[in-house]
Amino acid sequence: MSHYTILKTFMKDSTALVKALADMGYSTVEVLDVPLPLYGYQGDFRKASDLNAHTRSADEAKKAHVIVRRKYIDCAANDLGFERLSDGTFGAIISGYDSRRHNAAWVNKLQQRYSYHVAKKKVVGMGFTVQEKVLEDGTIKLLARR
Amino acid sequence: MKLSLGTRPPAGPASVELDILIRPDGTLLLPICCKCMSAGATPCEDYEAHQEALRLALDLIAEGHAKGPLESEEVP
Repeated sequence: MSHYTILKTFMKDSTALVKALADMGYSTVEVLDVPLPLYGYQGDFRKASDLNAHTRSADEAKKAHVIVRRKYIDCAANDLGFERLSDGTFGAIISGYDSRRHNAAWVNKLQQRYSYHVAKKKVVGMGFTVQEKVLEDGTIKLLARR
Repeated sequence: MKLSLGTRPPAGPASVELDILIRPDGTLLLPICCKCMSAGATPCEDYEAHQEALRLALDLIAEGHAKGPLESEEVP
C-alpha cells in the first residue's frame, strides 16, 4: 500500500485546456482575452440568461474565452465554450441539448486530461523524465524519475 | 491539513521516483505520507520523493490549478 494525498484540480491554464480539448478530439480552438459570443446550431447566438434559448442580439449573447465552434463538433451542435470566472478558473458552458454528448463523464475526462498536462509539465520542469500508462480503471499513472 | 515543506536538508544527488496518479474524475493523487506532511515529524524512508511531491502540490495550489489537500488515501 502507498499513501497518497488527494488534490482536486481546477482548469485555470488555457494552454493546458487547449491540449486537453485536443485530446478529446477538438484541435481547433479559439482562445480569447476578450470573450466572444457563442453561436447556436441555427447560426444565431446562445442567450446568456438561458443557454437553451437563442437570440439575434450580440448584447444578450453568452460569451466565452475559450471556444470550440459548432462546425468542429457537429452541424446540429451549439458552440462549446469555457468562460473565465472571477476566481480565474474556466467554467464549461454546455447547453442542455449538447449535454448528451458533453455530459458529466465527458467533463470529467476533460478534467483528467487537463490534470495530466498540468502535472506532466510541472514534473518535467522539475527535472524529471516521465513515463506513463493507463490503468484498468482509467487512472493515468505518471512515473517520474530523476 | 496545512501543507509545508520539510526542513531536513536534501541528502544529495540520489535518484528520486514519483508515482503520480490522475483519476478519471481529474483528481490528482500525489505520494506524500503523513509523516512527510508534518514538518516536525520524523521523516520516512521516502523523504526525498515525498518532498518533491509536496513541492509539486504546493506549486499546483499556489498557481490555482488545485485546491487541497482534501484527504489522504492508501492505494494498493
